[in-house]
Amino acid sequence: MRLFQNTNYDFIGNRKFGYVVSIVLLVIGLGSMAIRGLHYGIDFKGGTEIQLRFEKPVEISEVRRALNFAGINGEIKRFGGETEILVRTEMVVAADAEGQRDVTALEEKIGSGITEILKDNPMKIMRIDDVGPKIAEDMKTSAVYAILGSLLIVLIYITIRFEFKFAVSAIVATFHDVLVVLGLFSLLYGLFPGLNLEVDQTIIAAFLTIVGYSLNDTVIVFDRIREYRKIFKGDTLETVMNKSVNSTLSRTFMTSFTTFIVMIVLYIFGGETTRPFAFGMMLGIAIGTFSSIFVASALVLEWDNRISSKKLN
Amino acid sequence: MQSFGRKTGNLLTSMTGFRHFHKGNKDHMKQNGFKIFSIVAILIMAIFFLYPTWQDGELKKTLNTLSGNDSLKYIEENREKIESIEDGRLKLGLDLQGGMYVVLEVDLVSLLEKLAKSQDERIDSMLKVVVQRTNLSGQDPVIELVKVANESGIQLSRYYGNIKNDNGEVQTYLETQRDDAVNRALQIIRTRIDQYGVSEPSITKQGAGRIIVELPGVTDEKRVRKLLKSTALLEFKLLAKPEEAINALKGLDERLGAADTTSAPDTTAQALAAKAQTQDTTAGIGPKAETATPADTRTANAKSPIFSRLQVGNTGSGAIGVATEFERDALTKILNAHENQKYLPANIAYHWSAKAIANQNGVKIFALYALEKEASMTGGSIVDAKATIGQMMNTPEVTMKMDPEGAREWAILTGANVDKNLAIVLDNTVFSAPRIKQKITGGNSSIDGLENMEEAKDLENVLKAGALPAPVNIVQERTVGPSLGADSIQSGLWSSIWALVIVALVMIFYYRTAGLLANLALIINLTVILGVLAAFKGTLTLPGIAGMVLTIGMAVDANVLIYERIREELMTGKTLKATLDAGYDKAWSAIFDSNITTFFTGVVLYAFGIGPIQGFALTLMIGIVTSVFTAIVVTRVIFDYIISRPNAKLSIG
Repeated sequence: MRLFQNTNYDFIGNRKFGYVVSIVLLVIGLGSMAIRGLHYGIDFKGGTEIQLRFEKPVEISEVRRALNFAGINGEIKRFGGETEILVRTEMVVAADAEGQRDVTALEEKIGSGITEILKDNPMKIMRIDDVGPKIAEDMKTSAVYAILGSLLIVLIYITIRFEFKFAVSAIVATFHDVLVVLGLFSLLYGLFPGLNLEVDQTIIAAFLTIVGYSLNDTVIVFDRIREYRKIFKGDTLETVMNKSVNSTLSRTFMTSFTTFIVMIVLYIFGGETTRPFAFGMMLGIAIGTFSSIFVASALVLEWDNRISSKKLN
Repeated sequence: MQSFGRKTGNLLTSMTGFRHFHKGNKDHMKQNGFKIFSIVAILIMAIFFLYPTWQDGELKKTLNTLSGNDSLKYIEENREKIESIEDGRLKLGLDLQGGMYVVLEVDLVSLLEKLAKSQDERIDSMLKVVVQRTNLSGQDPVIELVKVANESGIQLSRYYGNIKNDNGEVQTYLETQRDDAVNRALQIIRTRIDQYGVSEPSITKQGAGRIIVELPGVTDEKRVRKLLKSTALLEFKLLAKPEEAINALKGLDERLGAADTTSAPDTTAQALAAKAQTQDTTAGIGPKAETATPADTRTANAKSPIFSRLQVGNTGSGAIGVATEFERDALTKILNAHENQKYLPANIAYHWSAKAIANQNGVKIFALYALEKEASMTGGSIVDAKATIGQMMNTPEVTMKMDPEGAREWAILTGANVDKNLAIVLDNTVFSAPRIKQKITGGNSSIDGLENMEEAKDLENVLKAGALPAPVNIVQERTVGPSLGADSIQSGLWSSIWALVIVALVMIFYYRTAGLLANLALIINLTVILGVLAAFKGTLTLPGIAGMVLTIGMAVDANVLIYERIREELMTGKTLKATLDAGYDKAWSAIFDSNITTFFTGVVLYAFGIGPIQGFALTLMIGIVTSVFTAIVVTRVIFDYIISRPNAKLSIG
């Protein structure tokens, strides 16, 4: 079977369409980030997260009552099945002598509250995550450094292998992808029950993978442009770009397709903790594929046009 | 019959094909000879490194089929083999096997407070600023303090080091003190974890003042927190009378031996069994019985549970006997068991040496000391300690200074016990038990007879733990129960299988024979990723599995690039061989450039990420390298073979 064989879509000519889609996505995303904000996980916010597994299905309201009884306030939500609950609190329960958070005391309080209120439904603690404010601050800083650092390294590499304008366009397109996905995370937060769209370390890993993936796509188109520019010397850059995008279209589709499928698989089977990662990746693959077709090459062309028009003047 | 005929026909063509291949493509064959060799070599290596992991699975199966006592016996008999399997198997991250990950921070500000020669308002307010700034920036307090002092033009030599020093020199001095304090904390934590008996713990330093402790399989998180946070206790204890101590043990030994009518399982074997089966248990994090139960201590190990393990004899250091590490843990359980306490004298404490005193064929030997339960003195009065080379003997020694009050107490203690050994005990383990040569007045003592400078340096650290305790705080903790880990393994396994099946089907559907080859490459790819991970003692984490699932999707990319190129070339009407050559050649630059950019992001992720995320970055990076290799080398070799046959056809969909 062959898809997209000998296609001749005018992607570059219709780049305005791509711009409109990009700008709409960015405006919505950034708008949502400004209004609704981003929800950070405890990695970046600090706090304690405790995952409980009850023997029998349990209502959130019951757990809330039990924790209120124990004097603990925080977020309580379902995590997976009907027996699993995630409790998150930034409370410092019974700080020890040095003013440090005392997780043992927190555990004991939760335990006593639940034995008192939910007598016939005992629970086990499955997981405890406790992040101090200093560590959270450190993690946030290194996440920002990681994304900026990877973009910088790639900027240098593409400049060496291609040209500076290609490098800048690729980076802008990739950064655009990350921003759009981040915006969608803010916009879609809380819309799907069971999908926890918080920004934490795992999501940063997804972002960096999106950076890698989207660049992968872009570089392959650029590689073709590099090649075709030598072969079709008489053609304009716009024609060369269209040919390049069209001839790599089948590959772009296949790889995006296989990668997208495995992320669907991971979303379904990967369990509660990897679900946001898989979701972020799915968004990223879609946006990254779109941007490598419409945004990256188009930006190179805009840059080139501007320079040639300047020269004419 | 017909099918049989076909089969032979096929066999013949393939044989002639081979001959043709051999003759016609001699150069190619040579080249491919090396490629085939490297493929086979890499595969064999991968399988070699994965073999212990497979053995581990088999071992668990065997243990599951055996009943309680038989499985314990099996473990006892195959201990060496089991240990080598455990050493070589693919390590699972804490998120998959359960356990604790703790980040500790040495309280360097309180160290700076303690070190200050004079305590006035100025240093207090400077340190307050340091606390504020380090909370925001995560910077090293020492550097921050020097900055603060420089900003306000204060000479730090008023508070630290020599009065003639400038701030730069004071900084060097404080940095040494800081590193000493962190190393001290590290040593204390190592000793405690060692005593706690966790299999494969990992304790590492991170940055200026943080220590990362990873404890796989630990389920009693409350106890570990207490263990890590409590301040170190340094004591000096006199040796108890050896005869009395040994007689008491004999009494207990006989009592336990006589009580042993049932063939209750051996404690040590039980500990190992528990270790081996951690992944199968479904218990939550909740408290696990760590202290010995009565059944544990009535061991099956002959009629003499204590003396079958402990070799009695004075090693010259004041110890009453020795035991291997394995037996030490069993003996500790017996000695600490609550119901055994009443048979042991109330004035004697049994403590082990902190470090192995010898090493027999890789088995560590520890010494048991019988000490007076009451400490003669605590380490609180020590002002300073230093490891040096002694002037008299030119051998390593440690000098120790005490404050005036401590010195008076010390003089009385040493005066009354000349020619006796005095044990230096940190957190209930004995670091050294030097003999008191004479009454020491004035508070300056020296300990000689140390084997090397390293030992002296260690002892210096221990003694300083009394003078300059370096309190640690838990700044991050991640505890995962074994059942959650088992769930994660399941979901990771199923996602990998489904991802592989679906991608394989898509590839065959779209590229036919060539798709099949890509799938073969994919399987080799996954084997090599796991092999590399096992070989480099990497850890497989849940994000690591996610990375592998992602690799399954992305690894076909290199092949897709090549196949699409081949399809394009086929349309130009070239010969098969020319098509293949052109396809591979032209796809190469795209494969190289695109994969290296992804690889770079993997490197950055590895550098900035922590814990589980690094596992993701690691599998991603290995996956990129192996997928390029399998696409360029593995599928190419097979293609070459296919087209070398007469009437060769290539189905690429």
